[in-house]
Amino acid sequence: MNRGTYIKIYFVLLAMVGVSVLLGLAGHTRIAVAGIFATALFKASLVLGYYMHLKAEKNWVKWMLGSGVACLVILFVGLVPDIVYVYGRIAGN
Amino acid sequence: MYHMQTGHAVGFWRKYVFSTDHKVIGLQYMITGLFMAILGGFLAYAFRMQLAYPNEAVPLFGQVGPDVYNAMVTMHGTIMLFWVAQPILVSGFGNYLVPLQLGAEDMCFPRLNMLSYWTFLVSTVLLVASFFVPGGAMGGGWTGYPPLNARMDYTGVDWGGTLWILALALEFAAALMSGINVLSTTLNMRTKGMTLFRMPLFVWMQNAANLIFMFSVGPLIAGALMLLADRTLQTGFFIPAQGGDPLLWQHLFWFFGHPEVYVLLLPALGILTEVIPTFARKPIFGYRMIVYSVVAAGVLSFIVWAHHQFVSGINPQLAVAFSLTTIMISVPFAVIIFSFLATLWRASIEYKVAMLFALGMLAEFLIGGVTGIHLASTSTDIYLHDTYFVVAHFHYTMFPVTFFGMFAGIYYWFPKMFGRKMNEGLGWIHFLVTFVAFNVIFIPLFAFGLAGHQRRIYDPSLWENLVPYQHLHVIATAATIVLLLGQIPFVFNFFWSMKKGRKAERNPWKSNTLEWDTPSPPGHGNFEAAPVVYRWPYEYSAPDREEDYRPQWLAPEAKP
Amino acid sequence: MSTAATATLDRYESPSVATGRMGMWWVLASEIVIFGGAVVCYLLYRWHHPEWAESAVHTNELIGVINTVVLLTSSLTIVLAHDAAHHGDAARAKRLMGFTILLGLAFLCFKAYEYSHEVAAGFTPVKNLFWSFYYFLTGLHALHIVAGLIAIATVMRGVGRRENMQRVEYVGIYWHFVDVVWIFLFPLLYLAPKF
Repeated sequence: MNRGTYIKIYFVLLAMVGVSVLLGLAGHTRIAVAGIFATALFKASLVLGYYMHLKAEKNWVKWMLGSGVACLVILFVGLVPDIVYVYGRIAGN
Repeated sequence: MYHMQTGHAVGFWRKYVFSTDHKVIGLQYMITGLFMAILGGFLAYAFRMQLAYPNEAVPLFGQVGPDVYNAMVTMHGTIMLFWVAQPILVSGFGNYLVPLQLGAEDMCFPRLNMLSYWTFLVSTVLLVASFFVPGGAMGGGWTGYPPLNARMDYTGVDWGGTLWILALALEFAAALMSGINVLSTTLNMRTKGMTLFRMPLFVWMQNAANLIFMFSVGPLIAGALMLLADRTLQTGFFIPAQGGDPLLWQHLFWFFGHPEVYVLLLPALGILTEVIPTFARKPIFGYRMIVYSVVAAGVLSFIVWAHHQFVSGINPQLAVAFSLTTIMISVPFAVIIFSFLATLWRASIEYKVAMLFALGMLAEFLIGGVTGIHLASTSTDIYLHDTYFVVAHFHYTMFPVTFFGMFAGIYYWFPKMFGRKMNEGLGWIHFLVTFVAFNVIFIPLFAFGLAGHQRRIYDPSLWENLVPYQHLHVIATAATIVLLLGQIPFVFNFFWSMKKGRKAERNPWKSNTLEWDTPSPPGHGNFEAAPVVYRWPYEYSAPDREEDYRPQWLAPEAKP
Repeated sequence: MSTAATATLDRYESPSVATGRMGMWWVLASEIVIFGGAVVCYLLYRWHHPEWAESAVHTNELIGVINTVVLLTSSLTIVLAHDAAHHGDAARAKRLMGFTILLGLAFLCFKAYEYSHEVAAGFTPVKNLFWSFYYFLTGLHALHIVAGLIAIATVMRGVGRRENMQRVEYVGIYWHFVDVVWIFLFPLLYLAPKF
């Protein structure tokens, strides 16, 4: 990877910041929220792939970082019934 | 050509105190852990005396008030898990043995390793200091559940709880640093010929333990910071009145807390994978199967945590799922236990003390595992939850793992660590007393739990239904004292053998792994010449050899 | 330490990933679950408390955007510093790392300005749970910025003496990670909660 790529990626990242701000102004819809998080994921993948050179890294490193994220997904999914929907506790709370 | 680093002179302080040598750091971890074990054991003595003879002054301690009792059970749990089991089994043995067994001269990041120990020592000092602050040490249970622990005035423990959280956070940081070192060293510093499937199983288990620790502890570190904010800044992360949710802490705690059981169990099983084949003089049964079981157990360990919360008001459908996964996780461990049994099958076993402790751990841990099934199933757990049955169950898992596993390791590797053997006769006494006394303490507690004795009550004589069983407390307490006194032969043996024990050669047990190719004790840099590995580490009972074993470093004989 | 040097010789099985970089990946793996754990808690609570949207309108979106751009720019400068170090241009690497440090300090200044105005307006960490999380997440992130700045400054001194040039990459990976965390915190705290 060379300087040119880094600078190109930088401008894509800036454009993505613009897109997410515009989405934030666009309207109070689920699509806008989804779009905002999709741009965040896209930005993060660009930084990870090109700036941190994860694209060129050994596969096990990707698996290792991925399993960290997988643990978080497990935690999140396991907690939704208790923390978000608050099973069986006082109504209205 | 590879050059040894031995021979350059270093002063006493650099050599034994501010050392970057993995062996010194490993021993520092172990010795700090052993000292904390004495403290943890003394706490157990004091609160067991209170249970057997409620409200009488305890010899060597004095009156145990309710607040002191709470602080003692809390600190006993905290110390035994995070300041004894974790530093000795994971950081201690891991640091000492992983580079040796891989044929490396040191860890990948020696200075990070030193930082790890000193962070741990600071955490130890903070924890011990918490006994002496106003309000006394943390008394809200070793699980630190909110809302009880989210406000200082709920327990009356002011600084104790805050210091407890800080000490734990530092201990986790130290363990992470040590874990990063073990993982990196295993990946990048295996000597020539040491492929992944030629690594001793001990190394596999250490790495699995450190990986599990690394991925499970993160959310709890975040949670600990939140609890700290609740205590000190009056935020409401876990306070229902402010919109927080105490269940969140329970989930974060057990998301770490249950994998932590395997973080401690795996290194102890790793010690067994070295001790059992050596003294059974047989190759380990099912090397690859054990590796795969460890991987499976590691994955499963992340989806079992909520079985600690069956009565906390969690979603019952979720409870069923966690009940199933919890029962499932016994399968890989059963595979490992059966591999050990198959290794022992028809072997001519040498009953050295290390082997006794290894077999003792297997037998005791089995009871711990089987009683775990009762607690994994929601229907029985609702009755048994928070009773002495649970106390007995987890002591049957954690005590054999921590102490039998550790003693097996110490008796086995002592000649490598100090160049002398420990006394076998004293070792036998130590084993027999420990083994018998341990069972006499905890078998009555199973019965007590079934009789409905709740955990964490300060004075059982206040409960009429428990009074008829009071004699069980007396038996258990007497056995506790015997167990503690039974450690005196060990302590004496340890220090006496260091100076006066019989000199040990390089490979006193005729074992196969690379640490036995070094001088006893190994110098700085470990190996005199870079070892080359030719085979897996369990070649015992080789029929075609004069000696019945073939070490990893031995070059294959030329074909005639 | 000669250990790292001998590791590259014929002493060991060939390393899978350069040792320093691998160490950094392990650090990041542990950091992912720490930050991730905090974010998971926030998401769960946020989902349970729709009324947090009323608090979230008060975060300063303009400063959020500025800080995002500042951090992205600092990511660019540090990756260019890595590129320069890779080509042996120590002077250029050092200059770019200097820019990164300046941008990191600028981030902290904006953050401090933001905090002080919020506290002055009564939005303290104990105002309600949303603000507790806001200070917790951004505070933890700011601490990582400080740690990253110290690390970059340390490596920069070595680069000035043309020592350990490979460390520019490692410290860069860490800095990018701090940037990635911010990439997620920005929509979580400044944009999306307004819905």
